[in-house]
Amino acid sequence: MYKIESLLHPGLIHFGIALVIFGWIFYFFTLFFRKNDLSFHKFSVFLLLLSGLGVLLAVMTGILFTGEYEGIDRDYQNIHMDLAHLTLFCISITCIIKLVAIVRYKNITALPWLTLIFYTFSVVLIVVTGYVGGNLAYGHLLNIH
Amino acid sequence: MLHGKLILKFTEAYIHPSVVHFPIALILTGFLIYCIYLFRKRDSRKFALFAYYVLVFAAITAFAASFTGVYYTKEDYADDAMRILIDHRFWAMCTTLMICIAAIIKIFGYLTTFKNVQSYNWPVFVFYSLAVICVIMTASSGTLLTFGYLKNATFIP
Repeated sequence: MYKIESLLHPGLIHFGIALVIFGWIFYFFTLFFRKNDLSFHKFSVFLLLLSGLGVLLAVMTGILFTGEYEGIDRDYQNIHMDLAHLTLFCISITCIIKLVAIVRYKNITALPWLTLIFYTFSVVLIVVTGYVGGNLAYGHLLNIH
Repeated sequence: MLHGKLILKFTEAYIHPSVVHFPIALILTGFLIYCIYLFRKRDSRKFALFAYYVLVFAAITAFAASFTGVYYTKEDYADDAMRILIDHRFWAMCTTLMICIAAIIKIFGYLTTFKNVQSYNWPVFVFYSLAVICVIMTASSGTLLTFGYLKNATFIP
């Protein structure tokens, strides 16, 4: 029998990781190949907001529904949590930049490079967060090599 | 202060767990996007194109997840876990098959109707729905295998 709540974090991280990376690929494609297509810009913003929500839920379930480890596992957990918070910060900034472009400049295509920079940081951070999290889960707790 | 030297690894065994994020998230999110496209009343040619891209990407990653699952995961489990591994592989194969059929129908429709991504909507919907059911079953058995049997990390004794 499962402790259902303990599986919320491992379940929800799929959305955070996959949507941030796929959203970034979609935004990159939009910026370089469909620059003037407003629909593509709308969909990339939709994916950005969805991935931001995914990361937020993953961080919240991580804080609320995972236990505290001890010893070396605790070190991995601390690093994983710090990186996760940084990822959430970066993706939130990306969302805010895009919302400012829509609300303040009334132009969904505004601030493209600033968005891309923070989006890229988010992708790098989520990959590193996932890597440390994977090492914690598979390498230490499950001892899979 | 650290309790010891931190060693980060990336072995073959980590490839499959890294790739599975994509089909799980993209099939479920893509199905949601596809439903929004199908059931909204406004003209949605652009939305159809968006749903089409997500579907194709989900199919590619489902294939990649199956491939890495077959070639980069170990198979020497105990009997109980072996049964779950067989279930997991069966459902993974079904997921890949269903999502690939959905993507192939959509691509076929796109190529044979002068790039109209709104063709064959309902057959694709049927296979997409089946892929959603299969991916949930695959993920459930995968979770049971990983967290339940390899170490009782999340099990109530």
